[in-house]
Amino acid sequence: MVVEISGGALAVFATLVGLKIAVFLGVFCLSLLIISISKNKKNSSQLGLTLMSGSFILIAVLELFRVMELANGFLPILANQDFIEITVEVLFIIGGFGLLNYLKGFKREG
Amino acid sequence: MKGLNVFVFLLAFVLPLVAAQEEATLKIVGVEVGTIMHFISFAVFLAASVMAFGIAKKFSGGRFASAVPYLLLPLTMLTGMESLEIIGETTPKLYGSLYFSHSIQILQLVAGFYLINFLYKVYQIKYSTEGFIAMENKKNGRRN
Repeated sequence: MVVEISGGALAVFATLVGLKIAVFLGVFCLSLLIISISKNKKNSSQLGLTLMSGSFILIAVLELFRVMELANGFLPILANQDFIEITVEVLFIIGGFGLLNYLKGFKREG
Repeated sequence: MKGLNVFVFLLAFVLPLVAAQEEATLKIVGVEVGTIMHFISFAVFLAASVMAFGIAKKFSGGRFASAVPYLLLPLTMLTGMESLEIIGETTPKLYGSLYFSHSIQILQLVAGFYLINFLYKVYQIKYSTEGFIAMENKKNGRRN
């Protein structure tokens, strides 16, 4: 039996899995941040965790808009695909930057 | 690092808004914004992976030793992914193909899985066993 998956379906599937990973990462970073704050440890890894959680959750929201095609008529600014592409890329950079900050704190204090 | 933080935040707020206003492809000094973004993210992930190698060197044999592979792998994958994206930007025929874009997405997904795994390992080692280790150390007369 040959199972054919169209390109569009695969793209939607990959975006959905990406969405879940973004949500997991965002929520996990947020929980680590809350634990870190509750332990009263002030270091640069908290800034990194904040950046990571914020950017990943925002990426998840934007991916959700993309998957559900809510862009049409939902918010006029979201109708522009360039806007979503560049915003996701910038958020990805901020997430990477947060990871860099987190690793800096992690290396210093363990 | 602080100057870089300010630069990244400016980038985050200004560029998407400019992109939302422009009808045509957005370009800065003749180079597409997407390409510039890929270069910036490549630099960020390269710096993160260099730092990860430093961490691997520092923590080898310590209590975080089991978490180090889960950090090295996703960062290397993300750096590789960004370099693939840059190669793809220079060859539009390759960038347009479905296989290429999906393989990039799969790389990103696997890196995400490993990154979650790393954070979970760090959580396990750092926080969830903290009480137990402190108790054991107290019993053995050692400091945390």
